[in-house]
Amino acid sequence: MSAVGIRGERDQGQDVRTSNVTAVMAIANVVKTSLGPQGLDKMLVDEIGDVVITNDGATILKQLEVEHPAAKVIVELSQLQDKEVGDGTTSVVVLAAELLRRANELIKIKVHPTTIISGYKLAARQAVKYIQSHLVHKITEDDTEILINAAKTSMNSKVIGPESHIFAKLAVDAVRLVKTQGLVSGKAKYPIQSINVVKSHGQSSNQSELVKGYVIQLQRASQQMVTKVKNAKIACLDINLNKFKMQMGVQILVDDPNNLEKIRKKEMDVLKERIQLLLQAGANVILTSKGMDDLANKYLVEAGAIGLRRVPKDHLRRIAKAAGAKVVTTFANEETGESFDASCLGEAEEVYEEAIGDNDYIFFKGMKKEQSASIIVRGANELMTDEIERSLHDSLCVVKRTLESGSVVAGGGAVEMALSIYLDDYSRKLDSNEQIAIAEFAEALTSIPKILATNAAKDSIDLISKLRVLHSKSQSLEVDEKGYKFSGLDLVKGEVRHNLRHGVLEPTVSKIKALKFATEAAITILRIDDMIKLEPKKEQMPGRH
Amino acid sequence: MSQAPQAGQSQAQKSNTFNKSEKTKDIRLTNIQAAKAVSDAVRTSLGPRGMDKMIQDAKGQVLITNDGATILKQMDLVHPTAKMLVEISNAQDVEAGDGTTSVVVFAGALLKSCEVLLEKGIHPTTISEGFQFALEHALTALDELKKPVDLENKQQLIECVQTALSSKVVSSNSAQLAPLAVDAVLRIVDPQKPNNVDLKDIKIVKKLGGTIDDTELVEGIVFSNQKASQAAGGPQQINNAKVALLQFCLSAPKTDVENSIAIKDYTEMDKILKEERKYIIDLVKKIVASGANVLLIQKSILRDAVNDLSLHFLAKKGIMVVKDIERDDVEFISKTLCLVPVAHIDQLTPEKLGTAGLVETVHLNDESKVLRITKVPAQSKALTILVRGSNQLVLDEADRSIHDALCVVRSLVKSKGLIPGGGAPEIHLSLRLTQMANTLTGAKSMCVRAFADALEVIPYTLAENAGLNPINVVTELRNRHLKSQKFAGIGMKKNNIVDDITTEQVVQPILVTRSALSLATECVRMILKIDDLVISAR
Repeated sequence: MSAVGIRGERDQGQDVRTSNVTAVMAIANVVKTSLGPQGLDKMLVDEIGDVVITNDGATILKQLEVEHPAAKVIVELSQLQDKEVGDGTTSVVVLAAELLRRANELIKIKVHPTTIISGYKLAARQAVKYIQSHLVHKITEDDTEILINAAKTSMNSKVIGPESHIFAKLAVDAVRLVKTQGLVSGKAKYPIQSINVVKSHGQSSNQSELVKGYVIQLQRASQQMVTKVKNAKIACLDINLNKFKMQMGVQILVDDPNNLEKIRKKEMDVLKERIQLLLQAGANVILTSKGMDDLANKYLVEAGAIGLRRVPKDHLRRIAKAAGAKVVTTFANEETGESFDASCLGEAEEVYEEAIGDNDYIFFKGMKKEQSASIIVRGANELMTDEIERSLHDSLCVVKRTLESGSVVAGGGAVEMALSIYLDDYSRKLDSNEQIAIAEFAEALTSIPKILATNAAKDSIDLISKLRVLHSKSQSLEVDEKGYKFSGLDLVKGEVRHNLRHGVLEPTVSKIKALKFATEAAITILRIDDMIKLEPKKEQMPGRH
Repeated sequence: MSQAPQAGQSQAQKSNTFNKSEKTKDIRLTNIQAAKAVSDAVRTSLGPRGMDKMIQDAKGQVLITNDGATILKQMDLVHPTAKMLVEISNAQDVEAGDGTTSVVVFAGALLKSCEVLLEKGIHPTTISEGFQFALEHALTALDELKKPVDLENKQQLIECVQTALSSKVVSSNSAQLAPLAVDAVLRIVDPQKPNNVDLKDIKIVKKLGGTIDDTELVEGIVFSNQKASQAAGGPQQINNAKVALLQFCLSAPKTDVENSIAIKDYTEMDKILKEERKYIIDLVKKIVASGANVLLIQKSILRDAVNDLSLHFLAKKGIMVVKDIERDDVEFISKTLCLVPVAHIDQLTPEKLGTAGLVETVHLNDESKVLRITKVPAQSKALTILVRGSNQLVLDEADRSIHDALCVVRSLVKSKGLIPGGGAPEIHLSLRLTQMANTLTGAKSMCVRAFADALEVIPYTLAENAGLNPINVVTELRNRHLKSQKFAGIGMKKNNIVDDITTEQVVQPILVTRSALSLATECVRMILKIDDLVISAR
């Protein structure tokens, strides 16, 4: 027990900062080597023995089960970036760690943390302003090439990098398919969660395809049902289509054997009537989130309808929305009887079952209300399809963000280097204490191109100095005719080039958010000068009273 | 056989108890040590440049905060005197809502000076009386700095709130949060009771996602966890809503565990099915008859609040259903919407309904949804503040900061007086008390002087936390106050001493300092009077 009288440990001052920074650096070092197009993958094995192979920062950190509280802040940071932007999860962690490391060095030479904090805040604000005023390239919605390039850039670092031309097109087409107009604002919205990604291992990853319609991994409830229905009328139910059972608390006492059969028949009749209601309304594809037993199947087979059982609720809702159906929860009507309203049915041109690889899939095509997009991902094994799915998610987010923000910036370390030079200049115009912190912020930004070059096994010092020269030239010029400000790294050839022209692009929002989030996280950790860890409460010793 | 060991045990226990009663002098010193340690623990969080604490609690949950009361609460202290300090910090939180760190830091400084006085052989009772005397004079001297507050002058109030927020993680958002807090409190001031406000009328609702900039004031109610039921396609938006708050369930009654219904004939199965439907339909019909089109249903652990059947019928009638309303919210809802909760269907009459212009499910900018009830009747006073934050830590801290901000406005409404911040009042009081001590003789003079010295801990710590040289700052401040610049304080904008701190808009309610001084002094006097500590063996 310390002097304060707490049950647990307490660290103060420099000890805490150093331990926080060490923990954060440890996290950053884990993901560092995955940054950039030439970054490598991690194989993660969890306690059950499940294997994940990935290059996605957020996924790696999620699997790590970090214990140190400061490190947890960083893990949350990458999760946040994943949620808000979907891409740049590794770079945000690397940047935050670098900012912290440099801040800690400054504190060691007696710069007060509050000064560093206000310096960092100022630097981030200036950087965001500079990106918006100088570094963006405006695009329009129809600029397919730029969209595809942006998607390609995000894929380059992933396992599907070599096939990025196929997947980038898939991603752009899929996002365009689900475009909707916002109800209130009238602005175009791209709800990428309605893009359904279906994984099936087998065949090569470049056999992956985009389906204009909804695909769901399900089997017909019975093999005797037809495999294909044209001009489908879809009923979406949230009702159990099993033999009717009385609810809890109701007992059936039979004292006459004749009654037994009648009760059984009654139970069946209730179900039969319900199915008849559906069929009479014209339904020929029946989805339910609950069960559907053999008895129900029999009626459906006879009627030539497809029945699907145990459809996950979120899928059910989406299908209902796309087909213009209503999810029905009960057959009851106001006259205490049962009925089914035909207006609850949705429509689709065709619904059919097809096997892809080992699994059966149900396809819904030509839905009445809205287009939906599904991407069927193929790959050599499940690890591969999982990773492709994650990479696709990143790219879909990138395409969405690019479309929403309407502008892109050059990738390959171009923005970071430009900002670094700008902030360095800016700091020299400042006569307050914050100068030194802003200069460090500028220096921290160069860590991104440095790591990019190192990961690609190129001479990072040589490349960085070349890049720096170009950017500094661009900022000293009145008019940057040759577009030096878009210079970035070519990590295959190990050269410096005009990255905007070569199609290495990132959405502006992603860069700006990453900068903001990284600064915020670094500041949160910097502000901590005291850490108190309480011991878990022990169970009371038995026997003592 | 059983007799002997028991006797032995009780004897051992007796001696054990005796051993735990420590010697009088030691106990004072250990008490003072423990309390001082607590105050040292929080002092780095004092002021706008104060640092945060990261606390990992027994369950492994992490909390980052700068709020003195929260830090102390979470630390889970064991020493009894240390607990007393936690309590005064809580008391300050309840009374003034702000200054929770200063009160503890000041109490620690007072105790430190007690140590010196005790060493000199002054009797604790004398010290205690001396402190009380000093406190009374300090409080009168404090009024010399007071500037009246005009509740109409919003700008002044906003400045005051900004000072309170300047030390928090959310300080960069203070320009947005301060007006919000001021507006909120001013709206709920009751003209009949102009000297108090009930902060219960402001509900703070937290919703993860977005950034703090998205925080907003809603004149009405926001539910972040409850949503209009979507099952069966119920309406998501209703204009000119008639709201009923139901405290009963819209589902079929269940039998008791022991009882069951026995069926003997298949025709009875139909009957049961129909009976259940009939029951629900009757309920729905009565609801429709009452004219309600929005139902808020209180959470029930005994039965499902609604079932598929009732949702289906209500959706057909175009009635919105919101279930799982927390019991604690019932009072707030009734107040806001001017309605009467209904406990049984037979009591559901039109006059018990509340009205609201608009009830809708709103999509926030990041695809999360909340239910919002707005355009509430003019006579209702209750408000909701919807707090957003990018992660749970920030969200919780924003919540605490907004609470502090609201409390600051409340204390202005309560006492309608402002004093400068930035260490100015403390130095001023210290100077006044020193002057007075010079006119006194005896032990009392010593005590008053000690009290005056202890006051300087606040500017000293402020300077220290801001990275300034504390000795230079405090002596310079003393100097300036002696030259009757009574508003001189430490300005944080440029990190220097300012002639008139109020020009930098660093102001605080007089109530905060007043209650901090009184609470700290009282607590110290109590600790001083303890001369024995008996920990009873469990």
